[in-house]
Amino acid sequence: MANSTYDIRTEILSLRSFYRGLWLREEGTRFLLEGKLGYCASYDRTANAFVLNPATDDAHNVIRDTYEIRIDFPSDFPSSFPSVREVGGRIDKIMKEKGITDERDLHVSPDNGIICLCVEPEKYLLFQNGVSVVDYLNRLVVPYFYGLSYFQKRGKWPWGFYSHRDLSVLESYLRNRNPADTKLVRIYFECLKEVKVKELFSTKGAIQRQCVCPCGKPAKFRNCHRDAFLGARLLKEDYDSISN
Amino acid sequence: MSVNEFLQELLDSQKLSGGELDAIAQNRDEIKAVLTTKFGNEPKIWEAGSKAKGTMIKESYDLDLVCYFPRDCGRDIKEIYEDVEGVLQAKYVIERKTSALRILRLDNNKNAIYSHIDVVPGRFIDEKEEDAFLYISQGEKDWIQTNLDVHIEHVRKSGCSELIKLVKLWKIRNLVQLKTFILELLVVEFLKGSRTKDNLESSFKKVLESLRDDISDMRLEDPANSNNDVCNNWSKSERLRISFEAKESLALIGGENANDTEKWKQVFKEKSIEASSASPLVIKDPAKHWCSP
Repeated sequence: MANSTYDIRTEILSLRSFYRGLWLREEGTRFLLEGKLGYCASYDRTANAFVLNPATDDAHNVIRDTYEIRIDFPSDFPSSFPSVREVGGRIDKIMKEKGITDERDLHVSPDNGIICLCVEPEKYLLFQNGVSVVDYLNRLVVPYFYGLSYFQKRGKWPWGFYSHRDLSVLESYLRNRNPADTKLVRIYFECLKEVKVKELFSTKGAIQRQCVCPCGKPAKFRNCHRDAFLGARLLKEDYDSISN
Repeated sequence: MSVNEFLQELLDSQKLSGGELDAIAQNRDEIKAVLTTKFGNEPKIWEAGSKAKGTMIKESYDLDLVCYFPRDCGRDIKEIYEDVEGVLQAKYVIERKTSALRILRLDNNKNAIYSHIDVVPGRFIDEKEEDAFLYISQGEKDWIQTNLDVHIEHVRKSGCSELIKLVKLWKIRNLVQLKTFILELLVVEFLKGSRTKDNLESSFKKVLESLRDDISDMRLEDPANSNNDVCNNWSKSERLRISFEAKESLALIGGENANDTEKWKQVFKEKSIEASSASPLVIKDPAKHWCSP
């Protein structure tokens, strides 16, 4: 997808066949996609497969729902990714219903209301061949809102979720490790921001089994956040091997 | 089944149950109690909106409460707005709307399925307690003169209540962004003088045709205030979108499809709100969510 105004407009037009409640608004050099996002989707736990527009109503866990959203496209889209916010008060409602006081538990940034759709390096994995608006909606935005509706109904997220902050990056690495993709290894490494996590990578050799968990609890990392610990070990091993 | 029978069946399915109506009354009383605990009997509090107009539909409804203070209450409308906001904020999550305060959630709304409740603070203009000033929290002007009773009467006496419900349902199911207050006035305006308002099919098509053809530069006088054009804040792009949606629906039910009930079902998205042409898309191992801060 080329980085031009014309292309985004064209894409939005094609998007209207599937998401007819969404409209494009231009604000200076920025583009906003806003309105109602209606979807029908299902989730098959056995196959760990999310299905958008399932062929039959008999599919597993079918949910139809609508959210009022706003997607801000940065001026350098698709080099940078858009940000998504729920603007209809539904997240507030779910928090109240479930007695949740921290937006982060619904994967929403308390600072700016932006939804954390996936760990940054996973965007690279998902959109290596370029990102289109439709793909972004289908693969990240709608699954999030499906997950949110599922959570509202059942009190749990359909396909689980990562821990907060850098621990999520490490858990994601465990899931997506590919030492042959050096770019991916670097992207994961550069995503780490927290001092406590970076300290683990600054020492020589493998991450020790006895080290304390960077989440702040007085527990061993390997027991407290096991997937993150294993991801950290692998990422360090892979990063050290390409750095040497 | 004829088209009119189908449309009537749709309307019948949109009637609120006794439990839902009880829940509304319960919520109304709760908010009224919160306000009177603080302000005593000074303000008059009553229901307005679609409930009062008889245009409420089950698919999507909210509760509108008016909270008007007497002319000599000693506060200006901005102070009234902020005072009511303060009282509600102490108990609920509040969002400022143009002239209303939106309560985003109530503890006790298990039987009601609306997503919010709007409280409209205001001050009567005189002792007759009919017209009122409302504070406008967004936009150029910071006040507006209105008369909600006139609005309610305007809709109730128009003979268009059933059709308004139908057009509201079309709006919701087609995800059309149009304020219900404006939609109601538009339907009344479009059907002014019509002798066939009871014919749902022809009246609905007439409304869609007017939305398609007549709204690009339309002005519509507020029945409660001739100086107020309710379409004033309606942007060109919003008008175009609505016109486009009406055109798409008319393309389905126009010409030789006019009596095809299946086409009408498509207009009202009877199966689902998403495009029926969308084919399934399977995403294996969907991305897990997280939070960065």
